[in-house]
Amino acid sequence: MDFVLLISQLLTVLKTVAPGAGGEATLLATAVANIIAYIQQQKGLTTEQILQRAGAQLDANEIELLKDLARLQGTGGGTGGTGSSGGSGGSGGSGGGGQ
Amino acid sequence: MRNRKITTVGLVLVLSLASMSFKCNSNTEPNSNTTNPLRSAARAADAIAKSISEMNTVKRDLAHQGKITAAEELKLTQQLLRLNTADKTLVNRLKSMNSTPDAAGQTQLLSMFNELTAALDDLNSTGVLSVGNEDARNRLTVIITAIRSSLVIIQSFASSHG
Repeated sequence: MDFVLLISQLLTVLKTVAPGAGGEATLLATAVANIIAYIQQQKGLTTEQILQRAGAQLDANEIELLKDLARLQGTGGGTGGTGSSGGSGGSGGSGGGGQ
Repeated sequence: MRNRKITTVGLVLVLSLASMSFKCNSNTEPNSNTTNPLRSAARAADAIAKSISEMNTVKRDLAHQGKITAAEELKLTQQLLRLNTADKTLVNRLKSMNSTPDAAGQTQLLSMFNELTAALDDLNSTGVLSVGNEDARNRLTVIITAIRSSLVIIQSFASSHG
């Protein structure tokens, strides 16, 4: 029942075979393939390891999202490289506290 | 344009199936025959964490391409942060549990699940669906669908014990 592996391989093929779909489809296929590969890795991990990994991923996400928030609210940051200008009517953060 | 839509729909299906694979693999720990009732919920919470990361990457790329405005990106970022915090709370709770939750634990889990659901609904309704560019909206929706599939797993865990 390794259809997950099959799907991730199909996505890899899609990325190379269908460049005509544009970089946009490729980017999305990459994101989907990354998520599937991540799910697949869970098989070899204990529940405790999965929870540790989830915690680390969420911590990393928080750092990146706070960077983006700072950039978009014009309060510093400057990483991320989207080039969009800040100051878009900051409506307050949405509680990045976490625990 | 039509090809793009077909690709998007295909990716939604693929991702949903992959997320639902948690159920097929049940709660058995690798390299042992022991079962852990938390396992499927842990896997789903982990998949949500990765989905948030990928959605942030897609969001940045869309902003870079000028497909979403700075205001739209800000809204998405705020909603993603809320979802991330809700998932983090759930993961921390799961870490401190070592077996089937009691009645109090059950109530807590349900409350955390409700916050996760509310955060995802908010991300979808006030973040993704308000994006003006249709293509950008469709791409973000693919990842929302993946997160929703994972939430179903957590819901079945949170409501089936205790």
